[in-house]
Amino acid sequence: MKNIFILLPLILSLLSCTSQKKEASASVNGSTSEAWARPAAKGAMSAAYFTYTNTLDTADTLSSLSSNVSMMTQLHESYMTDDGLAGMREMKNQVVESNEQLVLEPGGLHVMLMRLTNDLAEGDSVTVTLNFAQAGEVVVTVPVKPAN
Amino acid sequence: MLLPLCIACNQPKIIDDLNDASFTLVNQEGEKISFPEDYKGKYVVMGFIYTHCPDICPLITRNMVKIQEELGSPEDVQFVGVSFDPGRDTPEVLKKYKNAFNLEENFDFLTADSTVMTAFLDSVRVRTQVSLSTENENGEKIYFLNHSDKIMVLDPKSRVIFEYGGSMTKPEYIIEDLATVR
Ligand SMILES: [Cu+2]
Repeated sequence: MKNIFILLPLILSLLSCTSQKKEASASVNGSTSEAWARPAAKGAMSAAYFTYTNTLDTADTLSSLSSNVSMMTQLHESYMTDDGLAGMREMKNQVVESNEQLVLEPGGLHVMLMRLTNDLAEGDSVTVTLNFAQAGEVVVTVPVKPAN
Repeated sequence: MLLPLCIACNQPKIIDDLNDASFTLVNQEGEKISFPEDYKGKYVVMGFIYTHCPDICPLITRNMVKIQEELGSPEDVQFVGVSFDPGRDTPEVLKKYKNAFNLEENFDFLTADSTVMTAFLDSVRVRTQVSLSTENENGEKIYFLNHSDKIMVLDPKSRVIFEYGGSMTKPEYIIEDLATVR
């Protein structure tokens, strides 16, 4: 099953973009958190942020991720270590309960885009593919926005 | 967490005096920076980052950018992002990082020889430790660092007078503190 997950800020841009696949149950949530990725240079790291809502009747597990711009893609969480340092850790098999949201935002969860295969600048977009145990493949496209 | 140590007094407590320190660092243009010599006479807002960190560290950088914008990019306030990952953060890498933030004057990103950087970081009590490390398909190791999350302010005599959690402090707090001394 292939769900296309379209994000609120993208709707307007999609209206003028007929090449986008629109089949499947487009799940648009009303969250105010915007979807975006950070600009970064080829070979460097970036992060993508968005909110995903699990609209299924059952809990789901995010088994793996990939993107069209990175050699490696993982779900990460920024956290504070016991001795007060800022760190990042991989969140493997993140569970999203039924009708709950997976909120990715700066300082918390992010899609970690590692070893970019090209420069990411404002105006570009990044396509992240989320592989869920239940929902299957969910494709999220986010615009690259300035870091500040 | 380090909180602003002095919010409304005119004579801030001196946290560290770096006046006698001497470190040779390099900015994003590959130019030598003698610290603190080259910044003497200016306030310095200094944050600590590494470019492999796309989440917390950009928040630190963004906070400094906001402070500079709000202040109207004054000549007497220098902004500095110091990389605690000098092995990977070469001047070229830092230049690209700076470009991603669209920054102009009075904003340097500094790196150094690893030994020098270690000594410099010790002197300002910034700690790092290697954490997560993964290998990509090419067997190339990618490592990450746990690190102090810090922005600090030096006065024109190179004395550290304010320290903050770098990513989570509102720029307005730092601007208010600066206004009490500047
Ligand atoms: Cu990360």
